[in-house]
Amino acid sequence: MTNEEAWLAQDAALRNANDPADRLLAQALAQPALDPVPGNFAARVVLLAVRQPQPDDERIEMLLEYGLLGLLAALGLTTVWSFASGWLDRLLEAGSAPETGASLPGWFAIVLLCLALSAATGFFGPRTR
Amino acid sequence: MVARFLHLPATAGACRVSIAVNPVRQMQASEEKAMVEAVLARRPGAFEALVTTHEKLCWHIVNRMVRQPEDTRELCQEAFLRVYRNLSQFRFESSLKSWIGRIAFSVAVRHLKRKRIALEESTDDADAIADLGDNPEAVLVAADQAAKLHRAIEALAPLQRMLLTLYHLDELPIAEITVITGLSVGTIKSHLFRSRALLRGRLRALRD
Repeated sequence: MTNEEAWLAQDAALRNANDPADRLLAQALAQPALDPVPGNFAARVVLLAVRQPQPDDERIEMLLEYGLLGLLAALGLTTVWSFASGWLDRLLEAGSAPETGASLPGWFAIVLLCLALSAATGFFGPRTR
Repeated sequence: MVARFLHLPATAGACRVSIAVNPVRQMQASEEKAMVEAVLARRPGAFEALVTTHEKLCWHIVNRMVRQPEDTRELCQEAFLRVYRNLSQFRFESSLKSWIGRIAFSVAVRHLKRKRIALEESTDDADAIADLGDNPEAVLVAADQAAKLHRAIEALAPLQRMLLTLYHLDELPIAEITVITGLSVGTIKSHLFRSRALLRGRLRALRD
């Protein structure tokens, strides 16, 4: 007998309930010991739902949040536009200066080393989970 | 009951197609659409009507899994609040009933996980069911047998108890139970088959 046939046979036995044991089992399964739903349940849920922030409020909040993020991004870009060229020039000068001994590939190696160190710390460090 | 799953479509997508051409389902769908639109338009009494319509299914799912009435009440409230918050995202791809059932199921599963209660295995299964056969002479009365059978059902794993209730009490088709639980048809049938066989075996031992 395949699984499907066994399943169908068991289901039919419970449905037909010719055997007293099957009848008893079918009755018990159809009338489990359930706690009743409290009478005022729906009204309570509605009260709680009304107290929640409404979807429209959330939409306004989200729009304001995006607006603020946009403003911050614009301010950041303006700052970079105004001052960054100076920083970049000084950085490149420092990198190519013979007395510092660090070239652009040297800076690149330092960045890579920092990344490797933080990855290793993250890997070997304490786990938060 | 057999007819409910004899012609089950192979995939959930096909299942939705077969539901869509059913006139009863179409009528239910239009009623559900009206109900959802009323709630989204914040018509007075609309959300309360939605909760009243579906509270029983939500309660059955959660209560069969967590058993404690107080926890059931809180989790059902949480489930309906989620429904309220996310109703605008409901796309009518399944019935509203299944969608709400799925939310209730996920809320109950999260609660059990938080409490570290196994979803599919029950530690006290063996003891509680073994109690059925402790004293066969004393349990000849059918009512007594039924009481012991109920104890055996209560001792099943949360998932099995819930599946038995959805199938036998709420009489949901297996296709709808797959939408609620996210389990496959085969897994659901397997759980139902094994738990019923276990109960049937213990009952037979009790009667012999």
